[in-house]
Amino acid sequence: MATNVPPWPGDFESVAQQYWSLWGDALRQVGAAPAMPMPGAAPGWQQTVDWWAKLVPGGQAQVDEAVGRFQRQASQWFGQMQQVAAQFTGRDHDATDIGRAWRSALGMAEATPAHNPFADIFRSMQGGAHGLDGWIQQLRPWLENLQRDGDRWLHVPTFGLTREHQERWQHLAQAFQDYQQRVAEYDQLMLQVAQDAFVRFERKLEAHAEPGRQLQNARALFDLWIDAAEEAYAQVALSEDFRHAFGGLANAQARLRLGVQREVEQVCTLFGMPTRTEVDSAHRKIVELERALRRATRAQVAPVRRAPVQRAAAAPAEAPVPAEAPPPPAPRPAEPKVVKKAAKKRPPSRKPASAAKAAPKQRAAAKKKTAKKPARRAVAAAAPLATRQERAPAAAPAVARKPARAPAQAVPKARVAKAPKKTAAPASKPAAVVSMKDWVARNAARAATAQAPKAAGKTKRGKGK
Amino acid sequence: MSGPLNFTAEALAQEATTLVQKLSAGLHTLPEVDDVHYGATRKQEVWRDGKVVLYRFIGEKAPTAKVPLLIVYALVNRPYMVDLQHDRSLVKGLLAQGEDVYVIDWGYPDRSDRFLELDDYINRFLDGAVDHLRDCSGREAVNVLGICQGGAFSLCYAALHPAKVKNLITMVTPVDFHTPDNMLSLWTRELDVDLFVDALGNVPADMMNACYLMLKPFRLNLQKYVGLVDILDDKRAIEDFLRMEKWIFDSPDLAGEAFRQFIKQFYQRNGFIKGGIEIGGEPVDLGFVDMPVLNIYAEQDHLVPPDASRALKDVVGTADYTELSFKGGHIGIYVSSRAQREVPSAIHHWLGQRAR
Repeated sequence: MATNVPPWPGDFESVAQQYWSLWGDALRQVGAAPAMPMPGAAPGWQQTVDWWAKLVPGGQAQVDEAVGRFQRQASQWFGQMQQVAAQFTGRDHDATDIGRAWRSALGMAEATPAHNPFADIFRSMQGGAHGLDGWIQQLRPWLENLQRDGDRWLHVPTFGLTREHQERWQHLAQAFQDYQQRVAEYDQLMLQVAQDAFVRFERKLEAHAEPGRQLQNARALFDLWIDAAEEAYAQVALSEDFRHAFGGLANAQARLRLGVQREVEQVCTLFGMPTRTEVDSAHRKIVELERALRRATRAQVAPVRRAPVQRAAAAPAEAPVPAEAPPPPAPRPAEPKVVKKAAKKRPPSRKPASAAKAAPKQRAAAKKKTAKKPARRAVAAAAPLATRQERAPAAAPAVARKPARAPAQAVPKARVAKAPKKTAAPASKPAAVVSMKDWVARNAARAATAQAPKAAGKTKRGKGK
Repeated sequence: MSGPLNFTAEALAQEATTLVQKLSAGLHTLPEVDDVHYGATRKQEVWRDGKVVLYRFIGEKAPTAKVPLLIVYALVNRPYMVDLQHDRSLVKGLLAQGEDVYVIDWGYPDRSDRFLELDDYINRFLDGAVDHLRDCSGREAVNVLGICQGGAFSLCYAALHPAKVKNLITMVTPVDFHTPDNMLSLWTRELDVDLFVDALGNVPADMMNACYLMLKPFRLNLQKYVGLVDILDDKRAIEDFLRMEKWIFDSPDLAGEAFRQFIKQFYQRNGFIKGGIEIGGEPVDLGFVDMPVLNIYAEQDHLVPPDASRALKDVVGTADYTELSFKGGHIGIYVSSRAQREVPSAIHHWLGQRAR
């Protein structure tokens, strides 16, 4: 592809023609041109990108998605910014001129524009995300039919053989109406974001008006706009108004979705097809049965549970496990975990089940030992061991893990020990922010200092003798 | 020429030409990009419960650490972020330091998992994985590294089972969900989560991703993809970009009941700070987290603001609490070159000081 830039022809359309020409050369080089005829007239940036996106070989999911995202939105916004930038080359201008041109390019020159590209960004994200918008568009005629008689119909009392159906349809129509209203509220906030973004954009441009701070290309202008838009959006998105609008919209969407799902279920029932409610009900039963089975299994094997491993006794098992040498243990399905544990032989490093009775003393001793360490000192001092064991059944010796979980009753709230208050301890807690970089450097320096005398000693001995 | 713009028409033409050149180069490089793969480190499955799998990472040398280190990641994304690629791998760094590293993979819940609760995730899956590691290592307790939502799970677990956690590390973990700069939290405040979950069942991953993109919509939907043009002539950079894209959008759906409980107890009620979290009927009180705690937060985290993480020091029970700030964002803390230099070393040093 040619890399020389032809002389400036005087307007942006001509620039487009120029790079279109370069583009044609490039395509001929990759052999793409014959298979994909170029448009007759010289296109702008967006047409170039659209054409380019078609030429990118498909089939690789990640590439397709990234190219799609670029083509759908990003390139359009940038292309428009390029055109705005082109209007101000070679002539005096100020921030207001650029702001006005940008508003105009986005179709937002009026105070209440018919179209708000900001709202479109969010709508496309949500529509693409879970298809609600597209889905509602499909349903719109039907929902609007329901609404044709307006509010009056929505509040007419229902009666007769189809009473339940009429009432359901009324609720659905109300849900649709509510959803539309919430969308309008949300869009209004997005319009507010857009208006504020333009103001911020101009303010930022003013800050770049001084010589030495001027923007050097269209991309910098685009980036400045992104900064302005993000700032404006963040301010609104952190506001109470947005919280209310977002919550209201999400709730309205959910109500509408539920309403339509009910209608779908009606039809499914009519034709003897399983409904989601039925499938959910089956899943719930399975989950509850599984939980009950686990509780029962745990209760059965609880008496022969493993005693906690003593640190000293476990030492031989602590040898580093070579990564390659020993064959890895086969993946152990965990479902009947406790049953297997009850059946399997215990490794030599652990205590036999018969030692379980002795465990409490050892456990207590281990706890005392541990309590001497600074890490647990404060807590150990503040909470008696017995209290802590009562609170945390997993720490209890003979029944090492939680007993069968008959949930809420297992640990009555009244018996639950309160966590220790930390009034006594936090001497070692840092008062100031510690940067990880400094911390790592400090530790590395300490390690080096610790190593240095040893190394020096070795060298001395080696050389001297 | 006065005004904020200081470029000539020729410069604009040059800029446009460069972009076209990049697009053209993309026609050569993009077809050469293979399906992007992730995971730099070999791993083996060592335990499984339903869709949840515990993996052990296999380093180039045997681990020297005696206590297993279990990484607990969030439900909302895949855990391979910690081992994304050869030169961006927290796991690789930890293995190189001698740690014995495991990760719990929550899998992709489907509709049959809709009724999984936080109790299942914490007291069944996480506890099962920890018990397996205790069995295999012969240790009474293991080290746990909880990341983001996985950090919140780890805190709950450590509070409920303190004897099984030797040292706890939390990374970019939200604790105070009501800091004023927490956009996600603010948005959930008026969400009728019961209605939401009843309508959706499981919460679709796409919906969650849309929420994350809405945190910085212009940067993440527009600017990032304009930036893609800059790297179209660099195959390796494209692969890195696509790998990250894959991770961002390769998200599991969220089990409906667990989502309902998490939003209510953590986001709406701010339970770590105000109390009231119950997992499987048992109250969670971080005062019982009495083991040493290392809390790492990212200074430019837009998902979990630093204050949301730093709140841990006031509610955790331990007297051995260390807090480190990382200069970067929520994603950079795993994948930036700074992260490769600092994070594994910091974790290893900190654990080393508490090895006995």
